[in-house]
Amino acid sequence: MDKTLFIKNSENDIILVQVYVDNIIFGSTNELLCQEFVLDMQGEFEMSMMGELNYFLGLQIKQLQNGTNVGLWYLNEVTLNLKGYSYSDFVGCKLDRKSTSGTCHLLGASLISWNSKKQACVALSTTEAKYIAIGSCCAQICWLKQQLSNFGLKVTEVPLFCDNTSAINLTKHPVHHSRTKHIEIRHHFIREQVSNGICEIKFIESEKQLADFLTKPLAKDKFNYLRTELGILDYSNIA
Amino acid sequence: MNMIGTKWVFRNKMDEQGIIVRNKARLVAKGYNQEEGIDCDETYAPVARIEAVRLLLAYAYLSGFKLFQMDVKSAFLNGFINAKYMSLNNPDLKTTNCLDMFTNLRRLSMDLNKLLGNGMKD
Repeated sequence: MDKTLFIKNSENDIILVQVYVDNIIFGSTNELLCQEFVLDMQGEFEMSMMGELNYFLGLQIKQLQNGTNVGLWYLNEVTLNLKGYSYSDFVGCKLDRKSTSGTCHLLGASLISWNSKKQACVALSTTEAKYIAIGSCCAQICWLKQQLSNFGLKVTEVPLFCDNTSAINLTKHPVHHSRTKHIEIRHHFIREQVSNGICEIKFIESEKQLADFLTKPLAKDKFNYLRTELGILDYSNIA
Repeated sequence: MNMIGTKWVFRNKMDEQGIIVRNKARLVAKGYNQEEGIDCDETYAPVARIEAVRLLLAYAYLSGFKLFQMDVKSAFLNGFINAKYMSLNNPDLKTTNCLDMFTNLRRLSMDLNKLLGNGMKD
């Protein structure tokens, strides 16, 4: 349960209030609930009403150093489905031979969270490296799912895209053989989540793998393609 | 139970040219004297994960409602403290009366732990 999220349901409407220390963002399906909330808060605390949300914790960052206006855009799409992408390189670190996981999550076409982190233990095969990455991707999905259910949105099996078939098979069939039997128990967390129907691991071609750029430098074309796919767009192209 | 001491912090605010434009004085509590389990219970800061904020943004956008924003003026100066609190005054202040040694706290930000517990829970 997120302690910074406050929810109030009244009949068919819902008001969501997200608190960040003394900053508050809130929204409701019914404008009246918003007004009521504003009055309540102003009665209780000394507030400055900032009006419609346009800048929050530096989330609106307009200019990059190279002078282009590139930013994360939430474009119009009606589908409310959650997707996860998981990718990992193999032995990315030359010093300790650990691999790097890259994961990202989208709600509809909007990029919500991403992560690029060196794995905590050494993987012996690409399958194992990807398997670990799927695990951390799935953990994030669990949290996002819970958060969305607080918003009043029920998501069923969340697709989690991975480009390694043997890692996918490993999540479905609990087989042990010589190349995988050492994989630590905690990475088998993912197996439980799959059998419980929290997420569904799906195959995706490497070309369409959106989390690709989180683990390694890419060629310009591919990088730009993935960037556009994730909704990181040039301001001047839209306006 | 530890007595929480106080300290005056003086700071000069400068403009771009480095000219002092404002003098600020602030009475702060030496909250580090408190010990968990004795003076306060579990403490936490209401900090949202940035993903949670982005998720709310995306959700609000996709389900088509407007988001608003507000700000509490100076986060910790709000909310009343229910229990009676005494704080030890700064020894720097020349006090004549014994009673002046203490400040009776009613609406101050001295005990952040208690304040967060009482004032900010919904």
